[in-house]
Amino acid sequence: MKEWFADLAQQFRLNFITGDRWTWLLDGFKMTLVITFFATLLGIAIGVVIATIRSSYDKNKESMKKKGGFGYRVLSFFNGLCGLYLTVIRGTPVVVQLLIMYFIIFASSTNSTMVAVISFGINSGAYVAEIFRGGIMSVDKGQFEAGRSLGFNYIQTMIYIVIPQMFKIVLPMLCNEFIVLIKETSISGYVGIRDLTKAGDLIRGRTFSAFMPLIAVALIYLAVVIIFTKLVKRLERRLRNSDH
Amino acid sequence: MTTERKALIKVDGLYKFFGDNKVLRGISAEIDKGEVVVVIGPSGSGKSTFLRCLNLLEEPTYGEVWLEDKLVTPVDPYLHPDVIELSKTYQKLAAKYKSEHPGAADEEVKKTVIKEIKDGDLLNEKHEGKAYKSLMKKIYDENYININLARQKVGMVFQQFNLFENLTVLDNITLAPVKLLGMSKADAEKKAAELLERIGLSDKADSYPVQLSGGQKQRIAIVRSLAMDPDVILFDEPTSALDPEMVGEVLDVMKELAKSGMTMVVVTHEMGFAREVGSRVLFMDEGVINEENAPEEFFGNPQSPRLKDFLSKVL
Repeated sequence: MKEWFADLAQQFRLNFITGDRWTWLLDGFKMTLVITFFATLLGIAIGVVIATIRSSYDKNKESMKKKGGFGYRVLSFFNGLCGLYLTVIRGTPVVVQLLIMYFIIFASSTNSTMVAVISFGINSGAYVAEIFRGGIMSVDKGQFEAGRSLGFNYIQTMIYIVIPQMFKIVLPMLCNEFIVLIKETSISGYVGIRDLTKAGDLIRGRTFSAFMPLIAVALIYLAVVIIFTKLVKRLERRLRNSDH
Repeated sequence: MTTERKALIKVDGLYKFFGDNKVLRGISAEIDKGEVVVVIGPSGSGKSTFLRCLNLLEEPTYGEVWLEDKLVTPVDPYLHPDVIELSKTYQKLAAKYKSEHPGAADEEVKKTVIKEIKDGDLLNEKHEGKAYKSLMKKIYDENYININLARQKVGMVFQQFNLFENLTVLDNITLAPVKLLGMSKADAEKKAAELLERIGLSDKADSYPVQLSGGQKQRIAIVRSLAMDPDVILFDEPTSALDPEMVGEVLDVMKELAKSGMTMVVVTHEMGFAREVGSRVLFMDEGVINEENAPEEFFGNPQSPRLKDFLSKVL
């Protein structure tokens, strides 16, 4: 028993203390957070735009189709484009998307972090768009009509009334998307980014002991996700309270 | 299209179909400044749809809506015989009719063929000629007003209040004047405070809609539309979603509004209100205006059997 503990302590020293290898994990963790954060922002931006286009199309296609004209053709073109984007992104593995981005689309770029942010952002955008679309659809129709009846046009009504209410509805789901994304970025190592997972793997390669670094990596992810889930729960409770 | 008397709202040949459900079947009406027009009728008679067509929350299938001599709907070719006569469909059918009925008078040809086109919905705008299209465009360009601009002058009060849930009472009232009329925030808030005082709800300025009772919400919804200085306010069953003890407070605000000279179109089941405040009452049944009259005549001496039957049930 004593020997086992001694061995564990020695393993710990070897994997984390020697050569300050714990800083690898720390730097990797920072990288993971940076990629996740900016990818989430990009995903939200893409999501809002796509959700607005798609729900506008759903809401107005009947009346616009009858009138025909330029507006309808533009909207249905963009709606088709969004549909294509959603199908492709949701129908292919995110690793493949990342590799395509890195080795084909941004082959000339040396900034692999940026490529990762863009890849994960575009990927996340597809899922966020559907979350937002559900949110927009679940805002009471009367809110929209009240806005229009005062003289706001479609876009103003969306900006001042519908989208703020939608955000409240989707905030918990948005946080979930962040949790999913933070785990998804663990594949960044495929394109040579030293994120948390890659850092753990590098330590394993150096020390030839897999247990310590990989378990440490798993625990860090787990801790972040647990903390975040707790925050989301608290947020949900707060939002519910303001309803009464 | 200029009329001598300048109607605030003019509705001509209004039809509204939801799929096979023909909710409105030919409504024409004029509403003048200062009038309080009350619309009553059984459920499903199309009252609310009619009201919602006035500010285009529902787009009419056929017919035109004019607000202060400005057209808000597309041009309805069936209301302009000169337009129909330019259509290829008409010319083809007219030629056919003439060959089948040699010696038919021009007027007769015109009338029958236009009716045939209208009944069969034979007009396909895509296939009509240049002359037809350019006249349609001319009429539209000369008369139309952007609907968002027109709506600024047409307030609306809903059955379900529809206060903006994400905004405080004060912001609910000031949002539109600030964003649409370019009023300064301070001016808008001052005006909102005056309006809130008028309905006795000054203390609720910073509350959110969820914290208010139905009656309070509806009074604030009325104030929200008043803040835009509308020429007319449309009321869509404003008291139907309220608890009975709150109906009175909302009706009181509406009565005061009527007294102040506001033009109002009110869809309601409140017969007392119609009798007391209305300057004209319309009875709608099965998508048409079945009878209309001043309240004393309307309630005291109803003409159509359908109205008599209805009144005997509700009074």
